[in-house]
Amino acid sequence: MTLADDFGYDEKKLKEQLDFLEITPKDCAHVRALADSFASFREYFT
Amino acid sequence: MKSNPYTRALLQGEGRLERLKKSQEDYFSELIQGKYDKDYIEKRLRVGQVHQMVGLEPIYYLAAYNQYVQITFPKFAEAFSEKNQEGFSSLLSLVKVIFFDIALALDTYFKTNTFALRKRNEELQRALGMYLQSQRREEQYRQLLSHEIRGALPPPLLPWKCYWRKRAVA
Ligand code: HEM
Repeated sequence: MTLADDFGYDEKKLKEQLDFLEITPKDCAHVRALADSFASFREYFT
Repeated sequence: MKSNPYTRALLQGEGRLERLKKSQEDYFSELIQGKYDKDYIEKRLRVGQVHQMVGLEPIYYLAAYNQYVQITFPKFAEAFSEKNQEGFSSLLSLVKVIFFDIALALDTYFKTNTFALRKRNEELQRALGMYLQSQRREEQYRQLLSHEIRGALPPPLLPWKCYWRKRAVA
């Protein structure tokens, strides 16, 4: 039993939450682009 | 985190700060992978659980998160200054996934507390059940005992008195 199971995070709930926050595949692509184009990204966080 | 006495105290311990730096590096790197599946959720919930276990109050987690946002967003804006609209959209997307992250962290606090309260409630219910049962047993025992004591006493004298009186009259 994982924590996600314990907390009821099945595929349906996960999708629901992403929908609530309006996180679309476009947003995923955006943040990925952010990571890719900002090669030294890690340095800014550490 | 080192300047605040509360968070400084939590960071004491062999190699803790170093481990935390590395953990946070991975954490933020995963945040922008754009992959929010069950594995991701599992890792996020686990971090929330570790925080709860070390006794980190949610406000300190939020304060640290906010500090990172304050430090990094101007740098993002600077890096994207030429690609204005694209950079702006990326930042808005980043804000969404940060909210998702925070929602998961808070969920761990709420759920863990709810589970703990439910468990304590069940224990109390069980204890109350046992107490009531022992009360019932005690009452049954008391009734049984008084019954036996009554049974062991000699018969009441009154009928004998009446018998002798009847005989005398006769
Ligand atoms: C932006 C906010 C924060 C993020 C993203 C974050 C992330 C993490 C991660 C990824 C871990 C490792 C969890 C694991 O071992 O599975 C961790 C552990 C921990 N965090 Fe945080 N954290 C944050 C804020 C804080 C704050 C403000 C404190 C207060 C001092 C704190 C204290 C700790 C401690 C003590 C551990 C356990 C370290 C160890 O012994 O390995 N965290 N955190």
